[in-house]
Amino acid sequence: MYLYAGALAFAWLASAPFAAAIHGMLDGQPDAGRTVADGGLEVLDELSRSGTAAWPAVFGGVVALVLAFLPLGLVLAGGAYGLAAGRAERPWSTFWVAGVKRFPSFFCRAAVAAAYTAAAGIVAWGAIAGISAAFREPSGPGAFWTGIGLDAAVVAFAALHVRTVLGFAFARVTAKPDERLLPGFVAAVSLCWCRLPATHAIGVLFLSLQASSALLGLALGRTAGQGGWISAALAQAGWLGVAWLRVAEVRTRVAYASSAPGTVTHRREAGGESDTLSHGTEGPTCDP
Amino acid sequence: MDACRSPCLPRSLPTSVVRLALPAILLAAAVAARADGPPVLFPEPLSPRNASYGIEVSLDPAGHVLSGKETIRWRNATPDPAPDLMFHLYMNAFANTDTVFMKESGGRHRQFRFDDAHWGNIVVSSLRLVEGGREIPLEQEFPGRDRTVMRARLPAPVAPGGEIEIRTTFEVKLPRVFARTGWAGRFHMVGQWFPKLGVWEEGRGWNCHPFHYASEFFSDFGTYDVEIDVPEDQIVGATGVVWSERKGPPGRKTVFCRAEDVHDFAWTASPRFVERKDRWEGVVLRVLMQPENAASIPRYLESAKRSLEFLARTLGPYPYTVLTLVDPPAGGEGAGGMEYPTLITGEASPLFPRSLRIPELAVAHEIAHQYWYGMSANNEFEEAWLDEGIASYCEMRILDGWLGRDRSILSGFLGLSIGDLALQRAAYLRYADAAPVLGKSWEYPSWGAYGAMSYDKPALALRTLENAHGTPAADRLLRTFFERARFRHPTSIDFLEAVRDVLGARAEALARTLLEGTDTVDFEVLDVRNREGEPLRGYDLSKSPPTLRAAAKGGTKGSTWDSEVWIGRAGRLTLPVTVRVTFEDRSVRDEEWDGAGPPKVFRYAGRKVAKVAVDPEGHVVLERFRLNNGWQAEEDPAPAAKLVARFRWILQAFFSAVLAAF
Repeated sequence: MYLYAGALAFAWLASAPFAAAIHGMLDGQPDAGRTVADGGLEVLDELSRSGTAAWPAVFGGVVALVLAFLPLGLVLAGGAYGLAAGRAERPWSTFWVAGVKRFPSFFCRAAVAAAYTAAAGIVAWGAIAGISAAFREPSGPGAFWTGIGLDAAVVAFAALHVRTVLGFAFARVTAKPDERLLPGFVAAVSLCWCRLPATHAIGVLFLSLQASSALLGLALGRTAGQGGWISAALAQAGWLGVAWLRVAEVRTRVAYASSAPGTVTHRREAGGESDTLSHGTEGPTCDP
Repeated sequence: MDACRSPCLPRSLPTSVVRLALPAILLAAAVAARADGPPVLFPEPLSPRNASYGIEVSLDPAGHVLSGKETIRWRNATPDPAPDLMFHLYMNAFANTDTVFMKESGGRHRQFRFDDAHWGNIVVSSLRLVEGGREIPLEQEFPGRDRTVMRARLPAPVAPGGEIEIRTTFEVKLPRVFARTGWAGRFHMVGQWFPKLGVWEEGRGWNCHPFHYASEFFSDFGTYDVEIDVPEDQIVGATGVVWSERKGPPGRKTVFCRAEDVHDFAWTASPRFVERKDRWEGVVLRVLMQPENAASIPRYLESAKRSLEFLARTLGPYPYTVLTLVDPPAGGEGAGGMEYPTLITGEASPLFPRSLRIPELAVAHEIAHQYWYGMSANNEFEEAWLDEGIASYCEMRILDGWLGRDRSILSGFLGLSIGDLALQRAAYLRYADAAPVLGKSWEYPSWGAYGAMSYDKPALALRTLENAHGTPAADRLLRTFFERARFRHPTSIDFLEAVRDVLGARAEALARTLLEGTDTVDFEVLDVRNREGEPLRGYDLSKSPPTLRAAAKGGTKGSTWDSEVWIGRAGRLTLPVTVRVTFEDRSVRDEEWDGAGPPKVFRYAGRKVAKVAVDPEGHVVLERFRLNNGWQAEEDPAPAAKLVARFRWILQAFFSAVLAAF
């Protein structure tokens, strides 16, 4: 619910300047109904031509809020991990305390993960460029699709790889609190490559989550022109479902990390509040 | 091999006559053709045919090299003697970084970058005048640093009406596909490839410009007999008809082509083409498609048929018997979206969704060029709008009538739609006051300005005339101008004369303003004032003598309304416009304003205005902003709410995705 509410609230905040501008432009126009029938392209075109100040005023806030959302997202994710660690008697405070406590660690690991993602992205981009160059001069009927297929395979591999490592970078949050950043990251990477079936299973769950999110966006895009309360309610139910899937993914990951031999055990503190996950002394291993 | 191997019939003849006389015509045409020679396509020439070419060319597909022998027969169709000849050597535009084309373009054309590992060029190894059975060598001169233009001084001027014969041998190195021509993998698009005469103009001399970045071509009509020697596995498409194909040396074949009453010749070869033939009213539609794009063949054909239908109905018959549609491969897209006589190149991709109408758009536009460029052969260097602009207008009409005005380019993809008109309007408005339409192609300040002024603004100007005078009148204008321009070199003056003759002097003045000026227009509802009416107090001057009237007890304030609607116009372009006023009692009144002078005020006694819409039908397509054209007493937040909801959902999707990634 927190994840859903966070995304919803930021979406409302970020769209506020846009909403004000669009209502200002259209509410007094008798022809507005026809104007928006194209999905808003004409409005955006006019907006882009209506002076240098209009566009930044409407969309400038979006960028700022997107940037602001990134740290909040880390807190929300930390809270989700905290709740996933066990049954909390005071979920509200547990969520936020866990989120805030985990923020520094999450932030550092996110930075490392971002650097890794960038590196993996560059490698993938290079591979795609190489494939594209090799297939620039089609030499057979299947060359075009072969090129596209290889490009897609590289993208999928890179995404899976990056995601797997990213996922376990955060799973490692549940490991030793005094663990140093890079060794912990390396250990997470080695763990994920040692336990490919399980990590890929989680990856599939993640991909299904992203796919459902994308499909929902796609479906909404097609129906948004019709508007109406029912489609709005369905949309929100859909987002809630996506958030629920996200929690399921977090729980699965935490459960998996907990079950790894010598890795993680849950510690409940006085008052029933879930603090962080504790761990064994050996840390994660690559034992199959 | 093409459908028209046997002698083909001119399509200008009525169908019934053709059917009745078919056997006789076939026999006559067969007699007219030599036993093993090219067929006669048009027994009576449609054009002056004063520049005709016979070419033998051989393709080395591995080296992307053409070796050619050419015979040119040129007749001086002016009263001015011609002391020399000027040739276009277009392929030299891609010879190095120092050419006019490369300097102007910076090595980019449309969105494609030149591959500087594969330059192109043309070398004329011999140039001879044939006179009295002798061949006299002519010296090649290159006026200017750019060798895209070659001059040859003649031993004696060609007298008015005189004819000469020139023979050349030449070799062309094709670049990787760029600016409409070249190779990509095993695909070869061979355009602008042979030494080609400029146009000798009365009183002006040779019109033979260097190859500019933002420019196409200009040449005289004639016949083309072209023998193309290629490896046996190549499928060849060409301007005109492929009337024979014979085996050559081992592994090679020769494809024989003939075109009449055209002013250019282009061809393509690839072993990968998927060939499909169809017919539209006797015209063979030959599609040469990349296998990966084969699913788009029906899209090409449907667009071709609808385009020919519109053009034939509006302008007159398509006289040729064949139209070849060529699909470039991935990596060769720079050859796409181009017109040659009876041959066009399209744009398709397996990645284009059905709702994105790029293939339909490209085919419709290029087929419109079969009339505006192919038959009405204006100078594309100096007045590009005459073909690009009118073709864009025709393309808009074709797509609007077929796919719907508001969704002819994008129809419901992710809930988004856009029509050709809106797209052209957006393109024009970005450069609305950058330059006038009339101008030489290379004088526009940017590629965008060239496009906006050559394609979009003229199309919108024609739409403006259509909206003002009605579609039948616009069709009469197009037909009149086409009939006058057919197989000639029309100019903007000819067009304006046609406007005057068909639509009148005021329309001509408007057209001239739109072509020569950069003025723009933006209407706006400045103010709407609804005042409560009050019973008269004071002296009633309508009585004699005036009587003093006192205020009625209780008053009748609010029982009647006096209203004013103020409409303003920004910009200096004067266009008439309709103002639709809706009153509180739901009655509607359309007011006409000539758009001139200071803000216009419409006053209404005893009525309260509820809504005002300037240009409610969207007839003033050149208007800068439309979202200030209305006013309504009761604001309606629903349309804006739909857009905001869409935007909010996109953001929510993004934020949810971020959370999922964390």
